[in-house]
Formats: sequence, structure tokens, C-alpha cells
Amino acid sequence: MSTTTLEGFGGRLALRVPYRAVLVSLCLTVAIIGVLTWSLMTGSYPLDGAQVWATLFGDPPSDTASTVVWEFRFPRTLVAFIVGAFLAFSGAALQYVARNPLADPSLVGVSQGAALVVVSVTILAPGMGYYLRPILAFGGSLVVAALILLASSSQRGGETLRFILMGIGVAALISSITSALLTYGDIDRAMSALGWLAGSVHSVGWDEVRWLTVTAIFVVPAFMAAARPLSAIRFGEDVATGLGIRVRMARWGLIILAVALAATAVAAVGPLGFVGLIAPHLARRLAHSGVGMHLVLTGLTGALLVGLADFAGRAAFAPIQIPAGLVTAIIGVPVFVALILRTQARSQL
Amino acid sequence: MKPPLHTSVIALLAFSAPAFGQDLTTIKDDMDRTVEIPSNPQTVVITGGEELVAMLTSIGYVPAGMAWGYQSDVRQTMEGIGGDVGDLSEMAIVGETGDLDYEAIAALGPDLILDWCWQDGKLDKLPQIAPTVCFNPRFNTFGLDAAAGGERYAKQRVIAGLVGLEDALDEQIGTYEALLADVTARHADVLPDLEWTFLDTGDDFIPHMYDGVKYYTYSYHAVMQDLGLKESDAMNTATRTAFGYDHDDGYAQVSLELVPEYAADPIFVGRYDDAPLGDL
Repeated sequence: MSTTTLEGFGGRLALRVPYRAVLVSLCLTVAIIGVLTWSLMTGSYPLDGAQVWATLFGDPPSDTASTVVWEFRFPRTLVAFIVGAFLAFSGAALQYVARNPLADPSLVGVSQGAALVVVSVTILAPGMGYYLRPILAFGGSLVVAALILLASSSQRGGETLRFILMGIGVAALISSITSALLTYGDIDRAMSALGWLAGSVHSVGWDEVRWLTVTAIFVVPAFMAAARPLSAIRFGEDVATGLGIRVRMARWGLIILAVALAATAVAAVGPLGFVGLIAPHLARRLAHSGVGMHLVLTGLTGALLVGLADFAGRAAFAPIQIPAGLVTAIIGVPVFVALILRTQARSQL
Repeated sequence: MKPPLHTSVIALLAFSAPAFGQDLTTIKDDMDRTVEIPSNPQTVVITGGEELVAMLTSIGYVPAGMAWGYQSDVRQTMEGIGGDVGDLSEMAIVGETGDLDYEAIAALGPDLILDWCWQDGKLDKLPQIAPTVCFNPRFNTFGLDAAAGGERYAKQRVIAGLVGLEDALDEQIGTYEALLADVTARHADVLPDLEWTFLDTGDDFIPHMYDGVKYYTYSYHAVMQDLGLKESDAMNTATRTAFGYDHDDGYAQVSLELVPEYAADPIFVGRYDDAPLGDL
């Protein structure tokens, strides 16, 4: 396959770029712009393309049209794209670091930690307020992930397997506590918490867009710069060490970055299942490439996946609003299974 | 935290000012928000609270839209208490109360939105569409305002006043009180000595016993109060200490094994239509 190599940051960032991967990433970008446009044009409030266009350029047909486009449609679509990319990046990094294709943010307790804190506060201390929810979710995610990381760290090796097993165990324990709170909590509050647990972008606004964007500016470049250690780590600790990578430091640094991205996404919209698991695999099947380009493809795939899920959930059965988290599970998982089965069939042939 | 009931009585601050061709009135709602609303709203959307819809339809006002999931409940609620549901077919559905379709609400062009406001995040969006008045979800029990030292039917009067149907409400209250007087008179020899208990099985069939003092969810308690029945001891105190998990919200989950200890003259059991009564 024809490739070219892009270098930057004094050689620390090197992307081997197969042309097919570039083409696929361009197609994904076009698809994302298409979904954004489609999403801005479509909704329960009747606005044609010209009216939406006029609204975007400061000449709305009415105040309500301006509210619908600028306050309802635009921010939720942007947030869907950003959290999709975040979860996908996070899943890809964890799969590389853990050298396990089943790794995703829920494995390190991000979703469960956020869920436990948000459900606890919603049910036990509702007075603490809705506006603290993102901060609490973020804190819960980080604390649980840190606990799992600390508990699984060891000087004697075997950290990766211990990390995965510890993650599964702690996540199961936390999920049980969350379920107990939902079962025994006040019904109104439990319903409120369940709405958040379904993973929905329906109530986000420009505040979420702003702090997600700030996070992206700081964390995503760090991720891209980590392509080289990730490339080495996926071949195993010995090979990576031989290539001059400080494996232990690189591994924990990447895990912390992955947790931070996923925690930020979960804090904004609640747990969106399967995106972190599926997007890296979808990206890999769309185009084979090196780690750096795969991260780019994964981010775009995750963004497109959640953007489409939110649009479908908002428009398909309007006025019924289906949370994006449910749509990603309903559509994403069968697609994922089909891809796996097709790959197996090909390899058998 | 929802405001305590005694502080949540809506205060009509009442001033009128012409703006955009409509007279405006300022009210303070149950979330302590000061909201400027039209004096004579033409298009009201109810985004949460079947009791709000039930109450308005029962006095002859059909809202322009309501949150999905409540239409059948409204009919059921009204039929359950013998009320007239009216024709709800013209009422648009604007999503589910926890996941509203804000655009569908905007498309109706409401000049007033009424909501319970216990679902988080709504108040970021709804006021961008139309003035939004929040009611404490616990307002609906007819006897509650009186029990809390407030004026009887105070909330109902405010809501009816929002759509200019105070007279229809007065007529409805008159009918209710006449019926109450008739029943009380006919059973005067029995009612004062009766103690009652209520168990709600919910959809998970974990029986719940409601604390009489904080009881709020349905209207049964108010009717029992009005009939002069006494709550059993278990309703008021024992449930909160001996019988199970205290939700600190006026009810406790209780054990089927202890049902005999809830002894009262009538034990009312609330359940969904298709919920099994099990061993109860």
C-alpha cells in the first residue's frame, strides 16, 4: 500500500500515512459535516434550509428560529461529535495500553465511577444541585480509575492483566451499589438519575461545548504526540523498552489521558456505552494504518457514530427523544458484531 | 431540594403592564423564581405533571401540548376519581417528560409553560421558549395546603386563575364538598371510629407505606382527611422506625411478613392495573 510519513515535534510525532487512510479520514470528515448540516436542518420546529442558513448568518426569520438553531440544535450536535471523539480516543488508547481489544472506558471504572457519584448525589443529596453534576461525575470517574490503577500497580509485572481484572471487579461492585441506590431511592430522584444514566445530549448547551473544546485543545494533541510510545507498547514491554520507551511512565501517562478524556465526556452527557469499544475497531476495518493515523480515524469514527446516534434519536421518532446512549447500543453493537463475523469469514476463506 | 410546602405557596405579586400587546403579571413560583407571564395566556403547554393536565382539563381547559406518557394517565387519573377527562385529541405531545422535544414545544408557540421542574436541566431550556412556571410536584393533594397551615385549594386557585377559570374551579369544589357532606352524613355512625392504612405496591411489588404526615403522592389521603378518618399509628410513626427502610420522604418499604402489624379497619392497596397482588 502506498504511504507517506508526516513528522513533527522534532521527530517525536511521526505519522505513517497510507493514502487509503487519508481518503477514509476525508470521507469521515465530509460525513461529519453532512450530519452537522442535516442535523441543523431537521427537527420538530419547521425551518427550511434557507431559514436555517439565514439564522446562522444573523438574519433569523423569528426569535424562536434563532433559539431553535442556536440554542437547541447546534450545541447538542457539536457536543455529540466531541464526546464521541473523546470516548473513541479513550477506548483506542486503553486498547493499545492494555493490549486488549475489549478495553474501553468502562473497564477502568470511568462510567461506573461517574454513575455512582451522580446517582448518589441525585438520590441522597438532591439539594447539591444539577449544575454540580459534571464536576461530580468527573471527580467520581477519576477517583475510581485512580483506585483501580493504584490497586493494580506492581513492581513485579503483570500489571496489564491485573489492571483489567481489577477494573472488571471494581466496576461490578460499583454498579451493584448504584443499582441498590436506584432500587431503594425515591422514585422521582431515581428517574432523574436514570435519565442521565441513559446517556443523552438533549439538555446540553454552549457551556458544555466550551469546556469540552478547552479539554480537547489540551488533551487531544497530547494523545497524538503519544502515537510513538503507543506503537511500541502494542508490541509488548520488552520490545518497547528496546526501542527506548520508558514503558511504565508512558503507560500510566496514557491511561491518565484516556481516563481524563472519557471522564470529561461522561461528565457532559452521562455514560455512552460501546463507543469507546466499537469506534477503534470500526476505524481499523475502514483502513489499516499506523497508530497515529488510526487514532485520527478512531476520533472521527467516534464523532460520526455519536453524532448520528443523537440525530437519529432526536428525529426518527419525534417528538419522542431517544437518548444517544441507547441508539449507539442498538445500532452500534449489531454493526460491530457483523464486522467481526465478516472479518472471521474472510480469514477462514 | 424541593422547597418545603409551607414556603412554596405561590405568591401573586400582581402588577399589570402592557408589553407586546399583552398584559403581563408577575408571579413567584414554587422554585422561588419570579416569572412574568401573560395575564390571559392563550397557548399553555404542560411539560410535566399529569395532575396539572388533569386539573385543567377537569375545569374545561385543554392545554395545547403535554409531555408524552401522561395522556393515558390523565384519563386514568380522572376516571379513577370520577372526573370528566374531556377531549384530549387536540392536545399535541411534546416528548416524554424527562426527555422533552424542545422544538416541538417551540412549534406550538406557547405563551406559558407549566412544569413540575423536578427533572434536572429543564429550566435551562424551557424559559428560552416561553415563560415557565414551576409547581412543587407535591401540590396536588387537595388537603395538603390546609394540613400545612395554608389556604385550602390555594394551588388549585392559582392554576385556575392562570387560565381565567376560577369560577369553574369553584363549581368543581362545590360539587366535591357536597358529595363529601352527603357521604359523611350517611355514614356518620361509622366514619369517626375508622382507622385506615394505605399500602402502595408500585411496579416492583415492594409494598410501600406512606407516612401520614408527609403523605403526598395521591389524593386518597386528602379524601380520608375530609371524611374524618384517622390514620393508623403505623402510617404515622411506626413505619419510619420499625418496619423498614426510611426514605425520609414520607414512605417506607415494608415487609409482607409484617402486614398484620399494619392493622387498621380498612387497608387500602394501591397498584397498577396489571401489577399482581402477590402474597399481599
